[in-house]
Amino acid sequence: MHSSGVRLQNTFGFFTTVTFFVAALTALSALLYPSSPTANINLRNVKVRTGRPHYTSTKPQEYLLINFDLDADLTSLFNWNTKQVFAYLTVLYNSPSASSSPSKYTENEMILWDTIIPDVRSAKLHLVNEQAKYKANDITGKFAERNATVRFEWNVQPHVGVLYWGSIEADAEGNVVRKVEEGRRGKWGFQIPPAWGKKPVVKKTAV
Amino acid sequence: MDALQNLIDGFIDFEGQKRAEQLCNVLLVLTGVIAYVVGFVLQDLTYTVYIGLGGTALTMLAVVPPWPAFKKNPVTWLPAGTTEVEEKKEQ
Repeated sequence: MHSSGVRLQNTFGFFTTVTFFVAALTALSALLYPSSPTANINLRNVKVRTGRPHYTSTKPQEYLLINFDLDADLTSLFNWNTKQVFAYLTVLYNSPSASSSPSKYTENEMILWDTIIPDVRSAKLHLVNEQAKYKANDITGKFAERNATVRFEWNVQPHVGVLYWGSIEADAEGNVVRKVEEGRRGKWGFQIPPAWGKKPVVKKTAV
Repeated sequence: MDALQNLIDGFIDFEGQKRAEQLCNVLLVLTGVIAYVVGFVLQDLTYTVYIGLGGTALTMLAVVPPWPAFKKNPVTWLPAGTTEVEEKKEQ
């Protein structure tokens, strides 16, 4: 510490150490804020239409079109270390196909809709009869009337620290599982209908 | 020119070096604690960032220049020529 240059270096060096510890404590403070987001989804209109992915494509394929209602409260994910939250709606179908020829692709997930929530003021989502943002198609080109469910997911991006994910979904009986037990209403599961103009392979069971 | 060179070098005495080091550590740790607590209480990380940077700037202002407070105990050398007797004994 005998000359100005050395003092400058030492001060800056210790500044980086202090910054590291402040950042580490900030990242750890996420443990102090347990979050309890809620979500309710109601599927309104599920359709499958055939179309060509490109003007020049010769092979048509099926597209899944979904309208849904979404009520979600992600307020509890926001604290002093939250930069933004990415919320998205996934449709997943793992069940074997209803037709006689089962698909070899058994685990399917597609994101239908998403949004970036930049601050706590817009953390309450209320969507009515919203259309899916993205085109959804099966890898084989045919959905084969499988049973599907939707899952509401979120990804928290903090200023300092690790990203973390969470989700709310419904089980086979329509009970909402994971994170929230209250607020199980609406329709989360569905059977993918046959494409427009096609006859269903299996008859719909009476509800 | 010599004055400018002195300012850039900024040499301080041994006692001053010890005090500069202590001052630097105490101020920076204090800055970190205040920055964290203020940001946590007000729930806004921007306060933490600006208090941290501001506190570090103040610490540098306090520690880096050769303030007169760091030069209060200059080293006093022995007067010249006092070692002459010993040199004669060696021969």
